[in-house]
Amino acid sequence: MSEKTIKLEILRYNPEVDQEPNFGTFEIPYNEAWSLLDALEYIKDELDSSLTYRWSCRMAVCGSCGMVVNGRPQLGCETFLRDSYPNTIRVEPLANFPIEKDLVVDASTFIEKLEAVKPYIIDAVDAMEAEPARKIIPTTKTSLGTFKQTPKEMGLFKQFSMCINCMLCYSACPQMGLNPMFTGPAALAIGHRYNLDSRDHGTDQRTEVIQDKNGVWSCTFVGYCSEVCPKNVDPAAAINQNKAQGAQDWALSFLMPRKGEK
Amino acid sequence: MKPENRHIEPLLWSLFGAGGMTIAFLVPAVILVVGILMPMGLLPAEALSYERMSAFFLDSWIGKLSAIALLVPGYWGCIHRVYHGMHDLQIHTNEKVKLGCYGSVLVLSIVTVMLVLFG
Amino acid sequence: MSRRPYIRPMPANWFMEKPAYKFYMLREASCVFNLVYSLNLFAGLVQLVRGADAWNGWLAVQSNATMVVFAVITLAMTLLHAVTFINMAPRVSPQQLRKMIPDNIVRAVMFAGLAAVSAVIVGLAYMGAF
Repeated sequence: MSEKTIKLEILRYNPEVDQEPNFGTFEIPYNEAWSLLDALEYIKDELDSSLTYRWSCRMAVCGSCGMVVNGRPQLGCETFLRDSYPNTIRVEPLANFPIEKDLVVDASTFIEKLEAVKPYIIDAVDAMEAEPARKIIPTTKTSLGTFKQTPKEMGLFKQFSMCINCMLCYSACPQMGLNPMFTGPAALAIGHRYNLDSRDHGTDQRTEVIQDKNGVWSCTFVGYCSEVCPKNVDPAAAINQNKAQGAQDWALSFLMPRKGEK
Repeated sequence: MKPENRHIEPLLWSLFGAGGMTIAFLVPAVILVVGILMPMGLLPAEALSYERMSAFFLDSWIGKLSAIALLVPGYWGCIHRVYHGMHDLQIHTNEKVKLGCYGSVLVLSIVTVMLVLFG
Repeated sequence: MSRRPYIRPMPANWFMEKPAYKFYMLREASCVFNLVYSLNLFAGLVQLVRGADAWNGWLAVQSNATMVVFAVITLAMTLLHAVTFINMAPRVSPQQLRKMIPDNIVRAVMFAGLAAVSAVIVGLAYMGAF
């Protein structure tokens, strides 16, 4: 009896040779315990050393091995051969990103969008200095002391802080493909996460990006981003909470014109 | 938001939300009554008679408000999805198309309110 | 080594690619039926304003077989809208509120509200209380 095998169809693209990507088929020994990442490793070691893909932690923490498996954005380390066996597994790079080589995509636009939402705590001193028009109370950073946060205050944003920047949500989002300028699910969810943080004073600085036409207003709540998220961040909820907030601020800006100038 | 970056999407989305709400909560029963029960003869003959309907929707204040609440937000809810649906279907739109979509709904809303209040 | 990133075009029929996208498009398509139906209701309002004969003419149109089929489809699409709308609603509400009231409680209350409002409308119509 011959050993059990499983077939993988992998979208290949070599920028030095290929005009466009094409599927390559590999047949490898079937091992029930193997993840898709193990299978790719086998192919690279034994069959085709030119196969290119990103990976690091192998435990769904680093967010490196996002790829499209049988049409669904997934982490390679969390996808197992046994989930598909005996059917062929179709592997493609993340959608809505330029393909660099094989399963590796160019994520630079994602990094720019992530930076744009200022994904870090902006403390009171930084917030005051960013807006000289407001009264600056002379304060040294050390005089602020430590930031206390209760479990309840942390619970407010914890879900949105679980993001591992794996970009599966960007691959899942059709609005991303229709409007590449869209800031996108993860970056907006992370911006929301800092806005909800009791230690943060940077909401005003993030508003321009979050409330922009290419911010939350490019979303139509398809909701697939939240379905594929490996960490249950629910970026669709984060985005649409910001629409509700934006609508409220929009209305308030007529009652209190100062608010509109933020 | 800086004034130059402000846009009307928050207003259009709020109207869409209001329309989504009225379509979800009021319209199913209205379709059931007007579109299915009445044609099938499952309602008393006089249920939707001119006398009753005009007395309620045109002469009583609660009826007038019901007619406006049933119709107007729904227009905005629908047109918002139609407009964004064109984007989804990769039909190229511009400010004129947008103005045409939401503008015609604005006119329809005004006509509806005028008919109910002064008809 | 030279970089030459390949950008895949967005297919014209991208929404046929995944069940999740098809369902999204079906949800969005419900608005077309609701738009046509609300124009029908607007026409009813116009006829009501015009008088008894005009109103009875509109009622007769509602009993047309084609119109009944359209009403049945529109009702199904409206219910699809209602279910998806209610399922999404709590996720749109402020995170502070969501931490106080679980999403499923909000959904249950909204579904109960839909049932209650519908019962009232149908009941009033049946009793001729309008």
